[in-house]
Amino acid sequence: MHVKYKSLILVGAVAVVTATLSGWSSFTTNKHIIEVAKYNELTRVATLIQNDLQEQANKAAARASMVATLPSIVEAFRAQDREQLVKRLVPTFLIQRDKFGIREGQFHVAPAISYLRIYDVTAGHGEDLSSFREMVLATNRKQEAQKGVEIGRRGLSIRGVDLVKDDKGPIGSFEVGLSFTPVLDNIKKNTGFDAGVFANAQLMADVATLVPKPDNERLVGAYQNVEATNWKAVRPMVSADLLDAKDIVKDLKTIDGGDYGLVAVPLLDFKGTRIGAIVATKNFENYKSMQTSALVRAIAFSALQAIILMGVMLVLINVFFIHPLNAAAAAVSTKKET
Amino acid sequence: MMRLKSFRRFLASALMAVCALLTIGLVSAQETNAQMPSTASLPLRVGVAVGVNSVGRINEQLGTYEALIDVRYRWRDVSLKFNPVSVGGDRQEFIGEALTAKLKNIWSPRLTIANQVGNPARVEGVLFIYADGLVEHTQRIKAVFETKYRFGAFPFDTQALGVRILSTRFTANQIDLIQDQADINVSGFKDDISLNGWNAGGIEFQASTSRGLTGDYYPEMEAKAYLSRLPFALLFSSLVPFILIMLVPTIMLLYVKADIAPRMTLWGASILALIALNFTFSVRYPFLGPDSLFQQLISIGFGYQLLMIFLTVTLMNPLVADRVLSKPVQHHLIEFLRWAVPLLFLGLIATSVILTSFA
Repeated sequence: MHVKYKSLILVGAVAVVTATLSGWSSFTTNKHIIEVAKYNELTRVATLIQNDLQEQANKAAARASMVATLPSIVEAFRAQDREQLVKRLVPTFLIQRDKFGIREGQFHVAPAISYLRIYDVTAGHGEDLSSFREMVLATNRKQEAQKGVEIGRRGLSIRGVDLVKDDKGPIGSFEVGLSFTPVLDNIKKNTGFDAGVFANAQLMADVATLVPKPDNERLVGAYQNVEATNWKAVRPMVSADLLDAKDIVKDLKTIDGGDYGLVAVPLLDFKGTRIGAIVATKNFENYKSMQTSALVRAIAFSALQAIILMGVMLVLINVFFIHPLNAAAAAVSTKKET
Repeated sequence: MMRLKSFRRFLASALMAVCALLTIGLVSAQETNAQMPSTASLPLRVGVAVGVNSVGRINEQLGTYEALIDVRYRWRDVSLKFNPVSVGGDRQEFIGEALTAKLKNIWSPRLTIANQVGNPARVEGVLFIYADGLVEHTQRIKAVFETKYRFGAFPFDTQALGVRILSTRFTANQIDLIQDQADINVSGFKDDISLNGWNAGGIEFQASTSRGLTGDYYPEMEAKAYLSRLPFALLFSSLVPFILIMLVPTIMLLYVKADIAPRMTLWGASILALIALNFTFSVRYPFLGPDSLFQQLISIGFGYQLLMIFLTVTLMNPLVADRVLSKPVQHHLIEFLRWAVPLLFLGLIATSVILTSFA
């Protein structure tokens, strides 16, 4: 092969390899930064969900404690005067329901016998809840307040249960249950993630007898969707495996060509048993665009680098080596001919 | 003549007075003394849904669009509960005059579309009252709306057609604008909508509050229906003349033996053509900013012309080149530039286009 072409191939290969390495290094650095940003965003959402759940549980506990320590309520409960309890609490709790997402308020007597449901004052007097309301059992057994998530007759709620007692001793307990709507709305408002709460469907069917059965469309594997900010956005993201996961899941999914970030936070009851999950999802197209832009930039700069490097080396090799060699060879052949 | 003028003035004043009276009449007809639903705790939740039935002219320059939209407000007023058996159904419907009359007698959130330009071309409405006290008021409005377009990614841009719903009468302590799943389900573009040059996307709602003159905060909600522009026709019609403007002088410079004078003449013509193309872009897309793709192309073009003119008067001009560079260096440099310059130029254009598409 002619020296010129050999040098061209060699120079071309060196230029392309160095440019590719440089471009690849630049792209992987950018990609890593973008992956870390995605991961951080998902971590932030998971933390927000956990903090919001904790905050809601605290709110429920605070309200339960306030009611459980009101002297008039303690007196009425000691006197087993349901009418007084209804008269004093129902108007307030209706406002609390409409404005602040409170969905349950209930008095119990030990071990876990329903005494009065604030939102259904005639229902379930004397109903034994001890087979499924372990928070109530624990409150009355340990004589201390409990808070957390549990499924009751009115479904899945974030609950606070406090002991009602006077000088004569414990009377029973009072419970406040909050809906997940504020948690989901907070996630949507603060992060732009659409979110949904899922609960074990069998547990819901067995325990939550006062709520209507869910539509089939809201069932995913062994779980049912209880609430969602936008079910249309959440549904394509969830699978039975995701809802079954034991730890927090941070994942990326591609659906219909679009990239989505996905977080699933296991929902544990107050004892730590897994009873469902909160799933949050958001379109991550902006990250995909950033990544593609980084790739295009890396390719463009590599190509520029390769072309300039190749050009400079070719000109130098041709001018300083090949051209003098050709000139010398031509001179020798001319001499031979003469 | 004077009499005619004064008669015209009289007619105009009379017409204005009649219009004013009619307006007052219409407004007072819509006014109601009905109180907010008394049993509801405040703020009363009002569900907002916005459906887009069709989109007419999108005027990027003025920042407006014409559309036929359905706006639905839902709230609960337990004082309107009724017995379905006695009424003969679980829903009462009111349209036309019955709607106006009913709205006069019941409480409604009196929401305004804040970004509507002028009077709507058409307004129709329907009011449903359900047996459980749920009230649904739907308005079908054909009007021109203001919106804020963003052209950073033009012609690969996605635009949000906004509908800004504002409460001017009830504060954020009195009503809360929300969406539940039922509102989300009926919001967005109609399924079979067809838009020339655009693809219909999703819809998003953003709730906020604005501070009134009294210092009170009023709730507002902006629905943003997203449209993605179909870029290829625009891109083709812009790139082809641009590349053609550069093609002929480039061929004359790098691949054809010619003197400096005809080459410079061609570059002069190319500069004028690029100025004309820039003017055409400015007239056709007056809304584009200096960072738009088309302005980037024009800048690349002028930069390319500058480089090529420099090469024409130096490396390709024997009078200069022979003094500075030896013949072999000139030869190999020109050999290199023949493939490298067009490649870099096209690469730069491709990179700009692709980066803009992901902006």
